[in-house]
Amino acid sequence: MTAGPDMVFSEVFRAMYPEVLRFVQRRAGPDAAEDLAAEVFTIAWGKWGAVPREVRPWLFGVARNVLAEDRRVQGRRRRLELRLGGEREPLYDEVGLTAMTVDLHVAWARLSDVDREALALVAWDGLTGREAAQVLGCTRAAFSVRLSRARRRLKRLLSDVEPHAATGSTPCVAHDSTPSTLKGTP
Amino acid sequence: MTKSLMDDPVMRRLADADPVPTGPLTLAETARAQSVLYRIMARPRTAVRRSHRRRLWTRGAAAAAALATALLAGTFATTPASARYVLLEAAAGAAVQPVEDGEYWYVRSQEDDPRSVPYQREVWRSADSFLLRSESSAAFAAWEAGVSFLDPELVRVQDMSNDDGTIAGFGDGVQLTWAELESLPSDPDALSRQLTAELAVSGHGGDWDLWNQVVGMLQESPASPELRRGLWQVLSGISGVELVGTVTDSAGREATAIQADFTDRRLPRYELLLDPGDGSLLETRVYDLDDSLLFRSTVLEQGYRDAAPAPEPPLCGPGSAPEQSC
Repeated sequence: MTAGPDMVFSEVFRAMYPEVLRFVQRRAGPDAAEDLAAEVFTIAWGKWGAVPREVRPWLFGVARNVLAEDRRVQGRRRRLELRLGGEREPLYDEVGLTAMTVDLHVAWARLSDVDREALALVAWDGLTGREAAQVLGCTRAAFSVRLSRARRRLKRLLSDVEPHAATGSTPCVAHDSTPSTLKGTP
Repeated sequence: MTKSLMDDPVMRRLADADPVPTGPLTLAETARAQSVLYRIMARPRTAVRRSHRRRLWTRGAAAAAALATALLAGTFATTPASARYVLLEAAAGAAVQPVEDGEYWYVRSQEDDPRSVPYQREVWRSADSFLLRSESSAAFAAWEAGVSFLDPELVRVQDMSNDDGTIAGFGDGVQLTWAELESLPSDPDALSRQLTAELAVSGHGGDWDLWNQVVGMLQESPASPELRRGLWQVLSGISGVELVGTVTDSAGREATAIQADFTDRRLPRYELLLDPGDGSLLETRVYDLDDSLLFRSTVLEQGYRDAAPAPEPPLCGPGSAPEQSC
């Protein structure tokens, strides 16, 4: 079932823009977030007649693709800058991490991008299992498996982390040099 | 946030650490959002581009012609294989299968899910009925209990009709009735166009939408030999499908595996195990981003039957959800 003429684009925009913007802000720098959110709705406008009636997971799915494309472009640009200028690759900043305790911060940093994505869709973006599965393009059962694995790993990592083993100034880098899918998080 | 998923201390703790809590926009953000809305709606809506797929079709047609030439020349065995050739061979094999008839379309499959012990599933479908016998409830319960034994009390033949008497259609995306399935064109270009036009846009890409729809139809629909040919040809036109090679499926049958890898979009990787000789889809495997198996479905038997079992009372009593334990 698609959005159809009875779903007014401007009303959906007003209702969903804040959620989409926050979704993007959790994963991209603050400078780019509004541009990327605008791109999501530009795509939605172009495809409005074919947008599913259940529009929220669809918009988040589009936002996820827009973010992935932006990361590819930024990655290429950064690699070029590094080659040209010999600059050091910037570390993740600590925007938005103040609410994380040190042990959660360290455990989160040790999770894979796949695990973080599953957890964030539910804990931060507030999606149901069915909606998150739609965003990720998998079945609800598959998402359930992915989420329970991620939750189990986070729990185990939290129990492994000694609070004194890390300081509050732990740099916000992933455990490898791969950019996280969730920028603004370690 | 969903209560059930968040009913866990670790998840609640994580939720409390949301780096950007969802809240109302600031005044400045509201003003900029309004401006964005005006700018977007001032633009004409653009049509979905189809030129790329049409180019692929051109290539698909050329490959089909090349395959026919190779077969006629008897040189196919020495031609380097590719996913496209395998799919076109499957299309040719499917097209020459006998046309069958019967009251019910029957499929028996084995399902492997990491959260359950392996279980079987049987469906009997006619134009106006849909009966399912699935061991899934018993299999999930066994897995939870750490045993391999399936409790027969948890296995029922269920009438899958909706309250209004309608039944779910065929395909994963567009739900096609039996009559709609029969009226689909078998020409791959026309078939692809029609399916694409009717598919809701998932946001994951038109190729992914089409892949899932076609695989769903190949797996469990009574598509005619001609339509199955068209469906395999449609798959051969999807970009990025690769040949894996010769493998053995879960039932011990030799098969040729192809894969469609959507992991660059953070979507699953799919493997289809097929018999190119008769165009049958033997097994479907879905892999997570870390390459762990998410799901495997193996078709053990399919064809027409003249009878179906009588439905049994729902597992959890009247009005309970099908396929769920109490």
